[in-house]
Amino acid sequence: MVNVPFYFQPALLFFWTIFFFCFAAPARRALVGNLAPVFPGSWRITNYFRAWRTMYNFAWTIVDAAEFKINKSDFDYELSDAALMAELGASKGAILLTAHMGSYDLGAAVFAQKFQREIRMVRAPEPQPETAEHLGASLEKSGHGGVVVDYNVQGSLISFDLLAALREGAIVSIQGDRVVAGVAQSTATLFGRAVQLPSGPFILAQLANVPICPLFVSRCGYRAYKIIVRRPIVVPRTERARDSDVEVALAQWTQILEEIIAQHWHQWFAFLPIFADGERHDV
Amino acid sequence: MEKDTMSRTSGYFSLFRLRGKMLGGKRTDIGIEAHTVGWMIYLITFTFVAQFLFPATLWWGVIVDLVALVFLTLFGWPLVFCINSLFIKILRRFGLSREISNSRVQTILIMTLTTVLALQLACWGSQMRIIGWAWLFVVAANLFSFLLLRLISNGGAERN
Repeated sequence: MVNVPFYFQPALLFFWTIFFFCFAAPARRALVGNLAPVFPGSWRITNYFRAWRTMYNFAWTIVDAAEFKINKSDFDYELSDAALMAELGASKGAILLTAHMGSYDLGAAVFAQKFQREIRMVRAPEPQPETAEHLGASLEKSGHGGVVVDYNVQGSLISFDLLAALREGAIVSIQGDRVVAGVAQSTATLFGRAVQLPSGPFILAQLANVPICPLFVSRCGYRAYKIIVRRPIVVPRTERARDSDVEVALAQWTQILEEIIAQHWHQWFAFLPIFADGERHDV
Repeated sequence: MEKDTMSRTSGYFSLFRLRGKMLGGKRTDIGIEAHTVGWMIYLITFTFVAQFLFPATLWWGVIVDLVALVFLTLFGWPLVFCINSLFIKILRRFGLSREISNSRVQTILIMTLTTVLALQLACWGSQMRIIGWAWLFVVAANLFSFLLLRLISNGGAERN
């Protein structure tokens, strides 16, 4: 990274993306499959081009994260709603619900730096321990000590830790567009299709009595990012069963997720099949 | 919509810095710089190697080889970066070029190599020589911008 001049990155990334597009078949297939419900009636060939563009954006976000960490490069960022962001920065405990989109790592680091708040970032476990160790160290380094990484592993006591942290006023960042095996999940509807989404963030928010703030970081140009924040989702505690309260909040979340993905589909890094069996889910 | 930046820089190459100055002293769009310079270098390298290997008129078989060459040229550059970094280490060991950063030395080496290739392209009789001449023109314009920026900054310093 140190030896590759910045002006070589566009050409290198362009061709390396072609290389990975050709040889990373499972990721390519997952992208094409996940884009199909976003663009109903669109040609499959067009979705292949869209998948390439998504991979290209993914490559840029990796390079940007490395540039930020290693070369301390300049980045521009804009906030979609500065007042809401400031409100979030000052809040006593909140869940940042985000998606595999843009550079969420960079976004967390920006947030931690701007508001001088520590973020606990929950990530899906990496298949290799070395990768997990590297990623965790990398994130904590780019966050200048403001980002702590937790891995959501089956059977771990992470939920209790997070609940305690939220009650103490911490900000916890969780990705809410994909589930990992063994974690609490609910069926929701996204682009008219059935999807399994994590219900853990909603249960945590209800128990800790904190809001869920949908937050997305989208790459909007060369070394430029946009932090999109939406109005908080509050999970009510009613007389009804917990599942139905969670269901209401989950429906709000999927509505926001759908809107954001429709606008920024080229930054939705869904490299695993999200939709169940490709069947339409009637609402 | 609030806009912010982590820190600010001006353009890397003199030509783009001058462009930034002419456009009201705003920050040069480093993205344009990265894309323009990077793709030009890539085009020159690719054209040079293609001309070197396939000097005859193209036919369909050569097109397949050219596609392979797109990637070969690309993979060749990281090798050049590694060799350059070793060369820079040797220079440092002998106490040379201590005042400038590694990335600047790397750029000097890359630009020198590209200019040599462009010069060779310009000398060859094929139609591709226009690419070589274009690069030489850009290098000359960059040097001119460097001198102009120096003059402007010296003039400003004297007035102060």
